[in-house]
Amino acid sequence: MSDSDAPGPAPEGGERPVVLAADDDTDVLELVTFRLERSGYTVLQAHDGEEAWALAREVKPDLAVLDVMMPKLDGFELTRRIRADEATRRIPIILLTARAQDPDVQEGFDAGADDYLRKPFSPQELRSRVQAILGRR
Amino acid sequence: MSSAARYALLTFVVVSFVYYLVLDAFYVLLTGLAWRQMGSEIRRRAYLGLDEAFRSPLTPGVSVLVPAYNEGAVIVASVRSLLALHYPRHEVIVASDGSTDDTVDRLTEAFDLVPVPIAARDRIATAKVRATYVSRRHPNLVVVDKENGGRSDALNAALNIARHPYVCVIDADSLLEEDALLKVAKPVLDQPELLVAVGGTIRIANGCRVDHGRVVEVRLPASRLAVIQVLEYFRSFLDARVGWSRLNALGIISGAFGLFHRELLETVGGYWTETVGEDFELTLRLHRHLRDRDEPYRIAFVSDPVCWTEVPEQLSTLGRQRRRWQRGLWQGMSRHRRMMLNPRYGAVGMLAMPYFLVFEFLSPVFSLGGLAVTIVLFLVGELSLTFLLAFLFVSLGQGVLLTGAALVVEEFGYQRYSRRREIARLFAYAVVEGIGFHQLHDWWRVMGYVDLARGTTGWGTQVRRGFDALPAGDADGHLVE
Amino acid sequence: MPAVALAVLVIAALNLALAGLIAGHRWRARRRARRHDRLVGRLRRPALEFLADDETTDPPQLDRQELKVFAELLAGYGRVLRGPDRARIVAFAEAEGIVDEQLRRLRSLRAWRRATAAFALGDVGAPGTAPALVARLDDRSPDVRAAACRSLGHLGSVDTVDAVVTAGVSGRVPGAIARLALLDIGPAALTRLLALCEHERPEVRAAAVQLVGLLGDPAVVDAIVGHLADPAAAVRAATAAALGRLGASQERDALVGALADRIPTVRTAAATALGEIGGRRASDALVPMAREDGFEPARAAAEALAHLDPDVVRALAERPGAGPHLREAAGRVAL
Repeated sequence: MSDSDAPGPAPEGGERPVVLAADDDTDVLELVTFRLERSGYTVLQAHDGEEAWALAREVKPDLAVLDVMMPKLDGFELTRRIRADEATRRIPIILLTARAQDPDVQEGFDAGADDYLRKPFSPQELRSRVQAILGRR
Repeated sequence: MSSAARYALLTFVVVSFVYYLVLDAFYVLLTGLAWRQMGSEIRRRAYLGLDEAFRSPLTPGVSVLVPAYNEGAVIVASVRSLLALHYPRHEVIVASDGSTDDTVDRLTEAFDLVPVPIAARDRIATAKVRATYVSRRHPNLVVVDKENGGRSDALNAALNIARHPYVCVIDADSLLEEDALLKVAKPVLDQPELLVAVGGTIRIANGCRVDHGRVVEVRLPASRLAVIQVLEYFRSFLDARVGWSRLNALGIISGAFGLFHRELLETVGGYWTETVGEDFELTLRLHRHLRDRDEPYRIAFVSDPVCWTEVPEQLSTLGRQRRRWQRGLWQGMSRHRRMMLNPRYGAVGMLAMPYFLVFEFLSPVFSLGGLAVTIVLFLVGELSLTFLLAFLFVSLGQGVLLTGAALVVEEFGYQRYSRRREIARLFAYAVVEGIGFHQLHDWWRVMGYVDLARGTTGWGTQVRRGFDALPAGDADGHLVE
Repeated sequence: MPAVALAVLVIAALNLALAGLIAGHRWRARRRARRHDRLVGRLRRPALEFLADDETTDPPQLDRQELKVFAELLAGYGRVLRGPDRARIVAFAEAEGIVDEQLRRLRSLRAWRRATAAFALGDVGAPGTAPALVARLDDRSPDVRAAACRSLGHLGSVDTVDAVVTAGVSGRVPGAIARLALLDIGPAALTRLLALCEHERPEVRAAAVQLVGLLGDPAVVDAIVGHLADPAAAVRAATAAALGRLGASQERDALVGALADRIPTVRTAAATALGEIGGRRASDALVPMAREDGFEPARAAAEALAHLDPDVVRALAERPGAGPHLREAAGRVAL
């Protein structure tokens, strides 16, 4: 099985799914954006929690990949807000972060995240998790 | 003039001259040390390993203690930025010292505070704690509402409930850089058995653009007074403190930002409530305690800027602050006078404390007094022009040069001020700082003597405008008063 | 008055010289930065493409300046990446001579160059560089030793475990750095760490037990549980903490026993551990501790109870004699 980022099966309706990526680390943001776009998704970028929250409400992406340690609004709090708001409640959330101690993972899931990926991360793994979640819908 | 009087005055002038020679030599030495330290710190950034410190499960937790009195204008932004600090494990404890404004209300609203009875250690007595709150959204934010008792008392109350092995003491209006805790925790990580306290460089936030409690653009203040203080802080932080810490004789860790080993703070009894210079006195007390017990220790200083603070822009407020500092100096030194010139206390007793006494506390005697007497004696023909010029050079001229040197160190090291006009302005003000402001400062010190003689206590009020209200510097560098 | 003029001129000249120094430095720095930014802008996309593309293995043709920036970009991305992408970065660095250059710098006379190179080699991650880094663990500069140790952690080779351990135990490298490196190397270090649990120095035993707990392999529980009876309190506390992390419910009784240890830090660690493990016997033993013990142990007990059974804590807090810690825990549970 190839490890390449070939696009997965096209979702219903043939439109590219929209993914919201939020991280204040521009290296990570670029990597995630580049790889997911290559795999057939449209990626919206946010550099901090508030920008991400604004985009989430405005655009209602099909999936959100969020860093935890972001300025203005951290990933956990952002996750809680997304889950609390009727309009954004159903957006699946993958947390991608360097904070990987067990209590952090627990807090992530308690806040309502669907998945938790540790940094340093493998883009291939991220892609398959994204596909797994979006494939389900 | 009688011969005895003449002799006495001439001696005084000579002593003043020597005072300046020693001070100048000392500052040149400190500047040299700072230059070398800075060079190595810049290179060290490439292999500092802050990422490792962040993700290591061994990095100790830090409790950030924030004493607050009527800080309603800035407290929410400040706390928000503290909660967002890039550090693996920390809590924020705000101690409202009987605030009469809306400090606690604003915090309650912004962070969804809920009353929770928090267990407190009773080692250090404080004024009564009325209530404690925890934030629903950020369980690592605790707010203590207590009766007024002064900054020291508020800090002690926060200390009594701090849960982590280290505490970071700051001012309510300190703006910390994102990596601040990581940077000051790094020396502790490297030598946990030795490091008991770490100080950090304070920079001036007036004029900077601040967003959500972070300095996003560094600009020189519009206010002349603030610019002069920028230079002063360069000289005192970049140069002086770096040098002192290399001698392990750092006499003061600023109350605006400092990291301490919590249990040690408790052991020495926390902050002293009877002084206005509680940060100075505490640092001396730590040195004394550890040297009394012959315990090896180190107090470090991180010169990479970590903290930004607002300084007074009005002469009256600044004057009150400097008079207060003078009183604090005296209170700290007299409480620990047994350390003065006592070899048992190493570089702290033999170098740092005499320095504070002679070159800070007594400085007006030699600078104002010496200068005045020199000019008078010259005018009556007792001293030659050459001597007068020499005196002016070592007193005023050298001051200007040293400030210039501090500027160079800052430029090569940190380059925080990015515009050409700002550098030019700084150089121009270096002249004013050395010739004019310094003398004014000495005058305030004299008023400090008067305060001490009268037994004045207390803090005075400080007008807090709040960060979002700070005016950005005029783009053309025009002065705006 | 020539003397006056001279004095003033001297001061003015010196000030101008300083100003000139700053201006020159700044102009050069700005030019360098602009050039750098331009290159980064141009090479960013090719770098990302290079990482993502597993069909062609040739990097784009680059001159020396561009190569430096390209490698820098890759190193930046490499720091947050794992997996095949990382391998591509290593291959690139080796092919382009970057690894060789860093190895050369490791032999520089200047300590800061050696330290920078040692650190960079960790980011590149080429396995063949491990021996050179191990040699640097004996460097005369502490910064170089620390950087080499950290990089050995990133390289993750089991052959280097002994060297890292020795560097940490002997104090040539700060304990925290050696320990994190061992954690980075991961389960491969376990055997050596278990052996270290029997070291003659208590602080080494304690550190080893702590790392064993952090590495998280439940199979080691039997090997370390005996240290709950170690003569040194630090070791007992570390063992209790490790057992908690490993979820060693089979040692519940032993941990409950540790709740009665003479030393408060051990009791605290045991309480926290029981908070992870749970069980009726644990809760029963924690209740009196939460009410009556010293500050830290009582708080740990109250928090452990809150973790295990929030309702019980709320009930207990209502009763007289509950003590401040149960009341705090109940308050926090209700948040």
